[in-house]
Amino acid sequence: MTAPLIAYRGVYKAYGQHLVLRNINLDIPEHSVTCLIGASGCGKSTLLRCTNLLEEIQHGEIILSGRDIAQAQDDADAIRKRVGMVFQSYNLFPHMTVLQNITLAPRRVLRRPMNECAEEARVLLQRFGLADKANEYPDRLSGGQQQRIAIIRALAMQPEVLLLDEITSALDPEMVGEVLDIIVELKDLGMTMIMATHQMGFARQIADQVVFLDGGEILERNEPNAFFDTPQHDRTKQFLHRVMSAG
Amino acid sequence: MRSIFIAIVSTIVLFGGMAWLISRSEGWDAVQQAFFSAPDFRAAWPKVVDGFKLNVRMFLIAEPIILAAGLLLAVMRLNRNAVLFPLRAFAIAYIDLFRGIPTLLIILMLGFGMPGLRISWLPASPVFWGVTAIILSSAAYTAETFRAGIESVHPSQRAAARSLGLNSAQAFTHVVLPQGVRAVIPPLLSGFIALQKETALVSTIGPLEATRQAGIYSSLNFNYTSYLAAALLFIAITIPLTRFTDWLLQRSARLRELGMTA
Repeated sequence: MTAPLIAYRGVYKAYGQHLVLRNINLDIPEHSVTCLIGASGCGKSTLLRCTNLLEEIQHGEIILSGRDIAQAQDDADAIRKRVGMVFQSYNLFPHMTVLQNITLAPRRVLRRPMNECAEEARVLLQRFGLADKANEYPDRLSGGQQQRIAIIRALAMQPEVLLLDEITSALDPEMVGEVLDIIVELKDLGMTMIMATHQMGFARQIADQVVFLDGGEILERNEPNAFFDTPQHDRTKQFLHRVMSAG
Repeated sequence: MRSIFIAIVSTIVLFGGMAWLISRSEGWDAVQQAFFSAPDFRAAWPKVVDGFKLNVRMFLIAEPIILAAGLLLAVMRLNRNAVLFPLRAFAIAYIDLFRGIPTLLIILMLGFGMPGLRISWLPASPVFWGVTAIILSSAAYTAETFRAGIESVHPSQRAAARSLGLNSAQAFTHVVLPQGVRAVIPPLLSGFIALQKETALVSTIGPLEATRQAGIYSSLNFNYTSYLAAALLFIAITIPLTRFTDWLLQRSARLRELGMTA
């Protein structure tokens, strides 16, 4: 058994008096897909934001490739280079073209020459069927196209792990598929991903492990078929029942 | 069509009526002589135009410096770095102070006070001190405009930039600042229009700009038509700029709408 790419050890996070993450212990193996599910406010997004050091944790360790990054606030920029993140609301930079959005970080952070970055960006756009959008501004694109470009923007930094925070929640239903197709493709390429999602069907299809969070705690963790077919915990059963009957 | 017709008729009735009333008033002949005299207009015009060139020079020199200083003050005020707190404190104090004092008073204090110090290496020119006073005052207002723009950028933009590995300064210069400045271009243009008129205040400390030239003419000839000439010159620049600002505002509102529905 090889060491996990990311290991959470006794992670606690609070906003003031309010505990949002309690004693999170979780291993993320390399090349695996982990789906975080649970009701709004259960701590899925917070766990992802803490992993990318956008939020600080109060207690515990987040170990990336053998090194605790949770206390590395002084070195946070270097960690974020290695950990990609995609947000629910896409967050493309509206004053930049698609190509500028994708090449900004490789140029400014990795200090690589523009023509090299642009070439790689075009290759990525080509692969995901967006080659003709390189010089468009984000407000000219559909939500699905914007989110696919946000994923490409994160990929351009060649991260070791990709954090996906409810990336289809803001999309019209007919655009969900085109975004999820990219995730399937990335899984086939061996990308390690942690994904907060409400798409139960997709979680069952793609996940290597499903983690159910409730009130900031991991209540249940299992491989997807076992998780969805034979949930152990009453709270898990209730939650699954509610989301399944809601369609 | 009907509404256009009604608009034309009501405009003619209203302004025609006002013109008729005014021209029937007892003092009209005297007022017409004093304010709307064609020969006086022609006689005053060259000097006033000459003076107006100084107004144009003053605001063209002041505006770039105001923009740079305003942006610098806004950034100083917004920084949350503990080590740089003195800069933040300075910016807050500066903005409070210079927004609180009427521009005219700053012009008078600098224009009469600084040369009075008799420090040899300080310029004594009233134009220099007048422009300096306008810069000091407008920079404080402009800083607050920039600050509003920068604060209007959604925090998720910064989070997205940081998540890609950009450090705090890079996220600010490449992502937050350009969006913040774009958001306040129309109010900055409004400030520019106001600035052009403020240059007239410098006349109080002596420089022969348009208002001052008009004043000299009127006191020598007991006729105020020269002020009308100065007003026309200001309007010739401010009205086109105002229309341009309106157009920009409309365009940005339209673009935002497009962005929302796309």
